[in-house]
Amino acid sequence: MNTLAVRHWLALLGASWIPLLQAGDPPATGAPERTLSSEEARQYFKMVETLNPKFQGVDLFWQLQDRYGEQASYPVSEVITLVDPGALDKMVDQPMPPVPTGRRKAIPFGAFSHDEVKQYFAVLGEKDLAQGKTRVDRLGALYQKYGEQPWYTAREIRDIEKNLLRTVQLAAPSGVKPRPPTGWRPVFRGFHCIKIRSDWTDLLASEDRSQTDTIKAKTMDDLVGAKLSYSRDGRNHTDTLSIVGAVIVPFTWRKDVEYNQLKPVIMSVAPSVSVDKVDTNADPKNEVDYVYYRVGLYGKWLFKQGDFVSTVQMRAAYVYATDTSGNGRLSGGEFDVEPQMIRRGTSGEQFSIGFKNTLIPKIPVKEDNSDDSLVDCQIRAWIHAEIGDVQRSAAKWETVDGSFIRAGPTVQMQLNFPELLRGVSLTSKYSYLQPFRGPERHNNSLKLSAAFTLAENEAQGQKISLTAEYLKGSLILSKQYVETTTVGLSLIY
Amino acid sequence: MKTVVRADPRPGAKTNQNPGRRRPVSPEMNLPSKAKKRPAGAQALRYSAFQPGPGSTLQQVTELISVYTHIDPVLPEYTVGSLVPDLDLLGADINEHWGLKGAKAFWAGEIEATWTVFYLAGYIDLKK
Repeated sequence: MNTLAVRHWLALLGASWIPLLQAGDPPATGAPERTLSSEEARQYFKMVETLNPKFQGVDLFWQLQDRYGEQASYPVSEVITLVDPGALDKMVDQPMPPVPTGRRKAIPFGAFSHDEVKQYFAVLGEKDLAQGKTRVDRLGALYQKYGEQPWYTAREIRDIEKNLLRTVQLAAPSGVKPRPPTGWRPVFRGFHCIKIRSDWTDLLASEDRSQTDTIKAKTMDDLVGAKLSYSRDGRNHTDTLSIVGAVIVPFTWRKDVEYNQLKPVIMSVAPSVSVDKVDTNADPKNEVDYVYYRVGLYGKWLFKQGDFVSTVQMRAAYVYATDTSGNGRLSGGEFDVEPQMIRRGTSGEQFSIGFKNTLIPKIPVKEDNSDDSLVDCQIRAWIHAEIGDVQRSAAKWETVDGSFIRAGPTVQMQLNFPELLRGVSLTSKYSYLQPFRGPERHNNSLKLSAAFTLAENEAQGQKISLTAEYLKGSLILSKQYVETTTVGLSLIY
Repeated sequence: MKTVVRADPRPGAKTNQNPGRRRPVSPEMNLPSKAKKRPAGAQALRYSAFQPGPGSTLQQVTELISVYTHIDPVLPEYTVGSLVPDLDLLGADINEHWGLKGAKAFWAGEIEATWTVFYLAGYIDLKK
């Protein structure tokens, strides 16, 4: 890229271009909004992704196309708000409505006392002077905007720090998203976005919703990718070839969100082929040879009855496993149906199954309001079914021939104390699988686990956590009976 | 009807601007001491009791969101992802509340968790 082009894109990255485009204001009547060509937007995002660590590994241009469709050009507002959603917000000097005084003197969890805020603003005033600026009367602005109160919320303190007496006028959307493709178009699009990863689980939740581990969604950093390697041991004259990879083609159909419909509002299909092969002329015990053909399915429905609304999610997967020479034959499948239900009530009265229940609320400190509880719990219940058939075991597999069908309920309860220590979580999970074919013993499974974050420094990536787990019963699929207690200390420094 | 003027929160301002009262009003005095008696036959405020009102889209969507969260008040700058348990449920509520159908209807995944309540209200206005 030549110097001129770099300057052009650096200018776009900086804030100086916004007044130039007058993007903060809605387009003047009759004046068309400025646009960027598809290629200009692509180059801009490429620079943003390179310069900003937050966007490394993110395909912003793909997100733009996903949000607004494949266009020859895009309005500037659509391009810049993808990088910074608040880019078009603007400050206005307008009087705030009077804030009533009379907060109770007891300081609620998550709030900051008047004295704490006063001291904090005093230090910020010292900072102004040290930087050679005029000292700003933040406390006066706080009183004027929110009244003289015994305590203040994090949102109010942030507002004064950032805006003083000004009010943020949030930007309004400039257009609506194009409707999602229907019919066979998601299939064509799926082939357009083939994923190559280490195996079928190496996907983001948005790429394959049939993944059963929905507790912690993967991020881009968690993805591994396919691996092809060759190694030679010069002393023993041995060669090892390793191929670990999967080709996954996810298709997703999206419909209008309506209650009580037979057709799912989202349906995903994710077929994949995974290969795990290690070929060596050294110890044959180290050889691995698997080929998996898998189809993952996901569906979601919405239901409503009076004040109760619910979602029902179905996850299913069928796997056929063999080896690269086609000798082995193993097929198996898993099926889960999980309902989630919530009663819509007045503030603070919601109780749900499947979603988070706030037992003791607190005033959020984080900007996204995600830390709004002192104690919360989540109760999940789902039906799990599994079916398997090992017709012919391959030479390098450690399986027992036979078939099985079993199904039953699973109940899980999780109790979280986000503010205790640095976060405490207690989980209990019980499942019962009724055997319809195959081994008939050990149908119950109980798992109790606890996780404590003893110390955490997100900025420096340091964390000390303690985990404990008690498991009694049979493992999924293999049905191996176990009774184990595990205590672990995890240290990241 | 008696009108009560709230105390001016600015430092130095007079604390009592109500001409009908003699002594300064402390904030604690305005706090309720007990809940109102529920009138016979009064219905609890539930989603089903909420009908389309004459308020702005922002007010109406704020009320729709309020039935899912204990965060009160729901402010226009809050992101919707942290306020509702499932964004598709909110989309279905919006479709039903404004009668959005066909090409105007919200589809699964259309509402993004990072949208502010204000942005969502503007988006609904564009779709209506």
